[in-house]
Amino acid sequence: MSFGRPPSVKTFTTSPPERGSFPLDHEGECKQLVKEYLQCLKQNSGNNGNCRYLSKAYLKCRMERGLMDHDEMKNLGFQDKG
Amino acid sequence: MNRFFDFMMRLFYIKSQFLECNNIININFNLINKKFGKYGKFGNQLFRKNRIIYNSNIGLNGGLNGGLNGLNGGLNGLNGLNGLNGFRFITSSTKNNNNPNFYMHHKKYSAKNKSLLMYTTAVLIFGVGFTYASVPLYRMFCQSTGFSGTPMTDNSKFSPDRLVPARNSRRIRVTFNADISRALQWSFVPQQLDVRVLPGETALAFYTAKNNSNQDIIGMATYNVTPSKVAPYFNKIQCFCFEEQKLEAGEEIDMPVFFFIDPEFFDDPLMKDVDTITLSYTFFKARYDNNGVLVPTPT
Repeated sequence: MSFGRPPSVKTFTTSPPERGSFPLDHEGECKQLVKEYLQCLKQNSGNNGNCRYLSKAYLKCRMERGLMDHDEMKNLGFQDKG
Repeated sequence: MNRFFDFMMRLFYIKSQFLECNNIININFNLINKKFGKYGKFGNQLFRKNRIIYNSNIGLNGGLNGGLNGLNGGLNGLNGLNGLNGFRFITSSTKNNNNPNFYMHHKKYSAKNKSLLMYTTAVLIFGVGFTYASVPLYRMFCQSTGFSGTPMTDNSKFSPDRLVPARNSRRIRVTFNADISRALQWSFVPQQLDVRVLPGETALAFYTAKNNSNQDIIGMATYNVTPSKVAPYFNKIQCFCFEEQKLEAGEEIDMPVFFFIDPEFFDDPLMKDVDTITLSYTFFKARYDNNGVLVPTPT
């Protein structure tokens, strides 16, 4: 971006996401799961650990509806136990 | 010219001494005698010119062999020309003619010249090979370091063993920010205030975008992570950035971001004071121009 800035200035460089972009859910097919997930987050004050099963369900919903490429859950960080 | 022929004759003489084949001198003497006449009468005689003694005591046996040997002798002489040291016996000085060291010098310099030739050839081949190899090498270098804006498509960060939550660490709070360019008539807000994640734990976050205008609009988003030093550890598996997102008039859509923080975040001492990370998305307006190219609309 700018040349000659001091080396202590840490710059931010964007990187592309691994799997690209989510296709848009125009029909709102998985909207219910979104609501549930957000509800869970609110209740747990943002603690992701308790709500992961819902994000797993959301991603599964997307995969079933063709809004996401099929992939194994462990590649997405969801191990079988916890 | 005389010196040149002196030199050639001397070489043939030396060569014939090595190979014990004196046939060659026959042929050459014949030719030269006719042309230059300087070399005295030919025959099974020893004769002298310029204090060079040419030994010829063979008849015309094996004339063809002799011709070929002469060629070899000439090539040996060319080797000698390569190095500066080779010039030592090109001069018409005849001091070293009967000197046994003459032969040794020739051999030594010829060996040196050969090695010099080998080294030069090796350097040449290396240079040519390097220019050919530099294209894929540069490409590999760019991909691994992301030099000059090359997108890093290294997927080893996303291997399943890195996506395991680190149980013993504190949770990092990730807050969300959303911005829109003024030219874009959308409303774009994050759906959650923050998410607290462990390093290595994949998390989902949502933004909602609503098209408030009465036309279909294409938007494109970029993102930013603050503090900047965290950026190398913030990995997005899938999101909605950098690709066009088309919203129809009046449409409202949820846009998810699926990300995780690299487990090595906690091994880095510089990251010790980081408790909050802010992920900020900005949407810009884009449209297809007459050539079908997506161009941004400036604010």
